[in-house]
Amino acid sequence: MLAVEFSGVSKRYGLREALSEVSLHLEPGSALGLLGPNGAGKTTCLRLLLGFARPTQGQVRLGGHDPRQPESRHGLGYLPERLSLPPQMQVRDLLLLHAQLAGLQGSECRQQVEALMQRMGVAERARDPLGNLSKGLRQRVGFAQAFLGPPRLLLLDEPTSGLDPIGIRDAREWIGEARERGCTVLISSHILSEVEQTCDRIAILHEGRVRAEGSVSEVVGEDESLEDAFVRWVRG
Amino acid sequence: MNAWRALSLDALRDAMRRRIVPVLVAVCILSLLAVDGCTSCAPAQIEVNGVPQQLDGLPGGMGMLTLVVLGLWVITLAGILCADHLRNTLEEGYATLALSRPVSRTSYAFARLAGALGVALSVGAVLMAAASYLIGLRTGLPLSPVLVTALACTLGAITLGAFSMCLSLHLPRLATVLLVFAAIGTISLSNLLGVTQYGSGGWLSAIDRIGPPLATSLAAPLQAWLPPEWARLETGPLLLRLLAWSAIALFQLGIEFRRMEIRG
Repeated sequence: MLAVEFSGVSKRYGLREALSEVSLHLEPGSALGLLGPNGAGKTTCLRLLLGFARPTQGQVRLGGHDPRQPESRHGLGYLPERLSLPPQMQVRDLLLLHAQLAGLQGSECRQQVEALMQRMGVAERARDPLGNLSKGLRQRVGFAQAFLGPPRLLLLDEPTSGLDPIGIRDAREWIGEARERGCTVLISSHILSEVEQTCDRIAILHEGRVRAEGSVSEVVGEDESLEDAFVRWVRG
Repeated sequence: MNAWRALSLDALRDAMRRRIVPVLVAVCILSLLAVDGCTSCAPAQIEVNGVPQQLDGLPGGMGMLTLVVLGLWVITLAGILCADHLRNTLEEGYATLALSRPVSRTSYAFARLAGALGVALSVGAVLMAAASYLIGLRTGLPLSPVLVTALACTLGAITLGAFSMCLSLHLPRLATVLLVFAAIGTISLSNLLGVTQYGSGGWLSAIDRIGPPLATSLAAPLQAWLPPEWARLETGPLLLRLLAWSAIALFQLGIEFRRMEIRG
């Protein structure tokens, strides 16, 4: 069964067509980088996958299920582009809440939260209100909540946004570890190097359409960098 | 169930952290002072055209009025708190993380509703318990009818809270709050006109007959405190109608929230 499947998906917001006839799929354990300039439709793809929106046309499947069914989101970790966390809530409380929502219980719940806080480098700030954290630390907390479960599928929207170079390298490591565990990863980004280093396939979206899809070697021509290929596919 | 409990507790903590809570505490204290005044009435004797008349129903009437006003205040409070308790999490984006978990939209909306109602009904419990204690102490009236009034208050709060939350998905907060006040005012007026039989026909009468009986369901159980000839309301049918309205409001909230698209 495919981890993620888009079959001829279109999405309209009023008169604006955000996605047009998009067909994509992800095999379990694979990693796909969704590349595209701002407004290309990357976030819309993730919204459809999370069941936040319905496609105007076509079908989206998450582990073979309709994403609007809650059970389709078992084992899903999500890190949104604009991570918004309740400012008065403490780091540990947020992670405990999300561990419970992810289905963890009792000591397993607490152990995983403590382990992830250590791994993501926020353990010392466990009792701090989220509103007191820097953007980078908040992003690390966002990673920690996405990795609760642990997830079988990770949806990461601009995951390195707000992270310093060390944080970016750490994030790459965390994603790599998740992939070693067999986790499927979908990264939406416009940072080409990030996608190139973490994904085995890429899809280039522009104006709501998939312009290119395949392994990096299939999409990028000879003697061409990913950046050159990206510009070529986007500008036509 | 575990997830729903976690979300409800989070919603309750969130509701308690809101800036409106200190205002509520202040209003509660003022309400208790008013309750103190309203529960000090004793049976009175007046003279009409030189004929002495005993007003035995006065303490019970004042007690009923006090509890109905408190009940309506609690229901209004539920409506106000619910006017942004769900909407706020959508606007700020906190909802997207929770809804990316295996949590149904209905569970999420009902958990937010439970959080807001938790605060409103806690305020209600304190006020009604204090009022009942003073009424019992000063007039000796039986307090068991207050439990039925508290049940009616809970159902009314669920009804108005759920409708308010539902409206807040489509309207700005201020518009929702104004509609809450308008609904409470209109329904209470229609109930009052219905009881006093001033309203015969017209849309207010229709609201009294088929709308959520917010005020009358609060008053009906307390008729036990009045002289029998004053009793006009039937508690059972009124509570059943209010229960039906609560179910409709919850159903509507579930449907509306499931239907809407969420910005992620």
